[in-house]
Amino acid sequence: MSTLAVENLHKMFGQLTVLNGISFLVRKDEFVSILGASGCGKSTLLRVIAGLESCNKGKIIKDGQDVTNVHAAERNIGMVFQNYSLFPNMTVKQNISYALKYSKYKKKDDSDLVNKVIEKCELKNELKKYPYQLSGGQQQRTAIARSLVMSPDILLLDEPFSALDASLRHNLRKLIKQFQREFHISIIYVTHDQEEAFTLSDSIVIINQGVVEQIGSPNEIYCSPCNDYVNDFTHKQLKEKYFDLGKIVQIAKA
Amino acid sequence: MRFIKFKITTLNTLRIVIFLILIAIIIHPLAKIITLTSFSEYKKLLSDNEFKESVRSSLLATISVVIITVPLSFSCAYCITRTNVKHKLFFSIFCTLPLFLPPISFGFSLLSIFGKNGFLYSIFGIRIPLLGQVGIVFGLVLYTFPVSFLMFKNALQKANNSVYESAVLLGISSFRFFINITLPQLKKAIITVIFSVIIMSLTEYGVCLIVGGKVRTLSLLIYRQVAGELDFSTGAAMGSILLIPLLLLFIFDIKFPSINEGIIYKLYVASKDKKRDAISYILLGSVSIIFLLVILSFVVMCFAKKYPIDKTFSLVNIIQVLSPPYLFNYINSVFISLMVSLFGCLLTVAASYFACKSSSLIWRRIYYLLSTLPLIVPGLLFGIGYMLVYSGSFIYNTFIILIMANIAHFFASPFLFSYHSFCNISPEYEDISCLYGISKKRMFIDVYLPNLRSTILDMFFCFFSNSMITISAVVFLYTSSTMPYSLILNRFEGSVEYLSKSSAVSLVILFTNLAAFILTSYLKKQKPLERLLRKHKVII
Repeated sequence: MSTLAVENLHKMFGQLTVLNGISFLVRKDEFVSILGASGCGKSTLLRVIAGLESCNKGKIIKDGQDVTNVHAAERNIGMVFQNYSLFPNMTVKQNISYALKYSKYKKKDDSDLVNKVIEKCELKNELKKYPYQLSGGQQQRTAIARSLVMSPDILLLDEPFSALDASLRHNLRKLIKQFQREFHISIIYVTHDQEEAFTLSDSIVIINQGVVEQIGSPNEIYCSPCNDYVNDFTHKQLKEKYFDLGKIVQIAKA
Repeated sequence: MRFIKFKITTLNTLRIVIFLILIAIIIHPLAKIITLTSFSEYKKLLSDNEFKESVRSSLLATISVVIITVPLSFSCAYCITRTNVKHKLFFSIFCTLPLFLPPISFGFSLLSIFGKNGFLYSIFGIRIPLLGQVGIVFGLVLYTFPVSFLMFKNALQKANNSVYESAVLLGISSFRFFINITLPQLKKAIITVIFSVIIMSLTEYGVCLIVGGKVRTLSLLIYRQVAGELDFSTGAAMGSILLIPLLLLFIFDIKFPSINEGIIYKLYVASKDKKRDAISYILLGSVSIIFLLVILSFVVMCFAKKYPIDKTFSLVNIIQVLSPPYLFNYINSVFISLMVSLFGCLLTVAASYFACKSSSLIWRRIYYLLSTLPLIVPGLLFGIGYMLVYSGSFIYNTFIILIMANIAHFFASPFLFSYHSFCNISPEYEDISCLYGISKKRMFIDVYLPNLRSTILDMFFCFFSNSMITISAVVFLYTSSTMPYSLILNRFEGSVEYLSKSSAVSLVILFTNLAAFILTSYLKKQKPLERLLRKHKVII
């Protein structure tokens, strides 16, 4: 359970400004989606929050403490990568427990938690398998389990389901929401898929070219877009897919 | 910024230490030679007709070798990796066999097959004018083929195979797929192989010495200048001209950097195609027969009492080259090769790690340039450089200088094996190590090393076999007590048993390397490193 405040974050790669004064807040147990077109700086924002990239200006405040210059491993923030990044020479069990065993900052080997996570991720029968023997969904569940056993306060998900088919995505979305409730973690979810953002989130941050366009609940974003960009970006695809907001709400409830 | 400090303390120290070692073993000896070269040397060279003629001969031979070796080795590697042809292991061994022999041995073999009293003449009455450009090209093709074959095989095995599955589903024809997907995907590998073949052909002098006849290649001219006339400055000036292909390779690498594709989980599974497999079998069989002929020529010469004068069967040659004093040379060679493999692997893995994974582009470029430089440097230059730099020091006249010179001389190929493997490992593993506070050492042992197991074994074998066969890098550095086995090949020159004894030595070297190859292939299948790691509870 944790809060995270991102304040006026700037990130430049040479002359290129990728993040230009990003600010938003993630409350306890909140599911926040960062929504934006490809190349708008979403993944960079996530990497800066995780501590994998430094920022040029701005602050990251976690539970009231400035963690901007704190090492990634000391922030207690987990991350699930788009390509899973499982260790191919290790079994599912070894992949899940590896970081827990060898982390410099978390020496405690909590087997109860590991077993609970394995059960929730439906990986009990796959423990001795290697990543190449798993389906895409199983690989992603292993990657999520690897992050969850570290008991992170905040979990970052970088387009985790982009390589999966529609039904698998649907199941995994449900699983993620379930984890959030059971493990009491805040989640920052990066996606370019409006449907995902609207069905999963408590709050959505819309980014365009490194700048926050609007922050609000799915309802606020949909019903009261603050400008043309938000209106176009959120409505176009959804309108093509669904008839009205009622349908979206139904999906969200499901 | 605590996390930046963390990187400095662990990585930079090691990075600088390895950098200094590379300077000491690669740059320092070469710099010593270059300082002996003046601008007037180049001027003198440009007006020297013999030099111009040697450049012309070298270029002609090199172009011919590239035209023959590259398509042939690619076809063989493709047949091994992309078809269901039978006896793959058998063919792989035969396509790699020339790698196990000193290049100079191909000269003996070609002489025995095509020479005045060769098999071809005595059995079929056919005489081919071998000595000269034809012999050089033939010998160099035999010499460059296995390296080229191995590089293609490696690239084909590491190619992104998920694309193939997509293509099968899309119903793309095999031919169109090969032209539009396979070849563009391997563009970088193909160009790297072409450069390697050019460099090997330009710098090899052993083959040219035996079958070159009156033709003088550039490498031969350097050898004669340095070993014969002890004119180091002219030799060094000529040698520095050979650095041009390296410069081109370096520019090419900057223009087309390696793409990090992550580790590919799915292995390529070839579809059923009997016609394709039959053609592959014929191609691989033909190439294998050529190499088998080379080996057979050694066997015939080795077991003939005094070839070609007395062709009666005798074991005297093989017994003699395996008895003292030659036995001690053999033990020296095995010891040197093992040490070169061990320390060479440690150094190349570290150098390739820094060349691929350093956050600074400048460090990556420095490591890449330093490590690939030996690819173009003739072993002879290393030998002279070491002689000039280390004479009088405590390592001179010891095994240490031979080991160092061999590591430097053969550094580039194992480095490139390791470099490409590192570049293929997902960069996100470093993010995971950073995110969860897993030390880089831990990640290296548990993740990188097991994934590089097969490559490390290839590198180990590459160092071992090259050290067993080399002459050029060690010819100025040995003493009577440290003399390697390959150097006794030159000792028999002029004697009646010249061809028989040289063949016996070649065969012993061949079988030693063959044994090392079989052992590394076996270890690759056994996954011993993972077992070892598990045994010591590195991964539980």
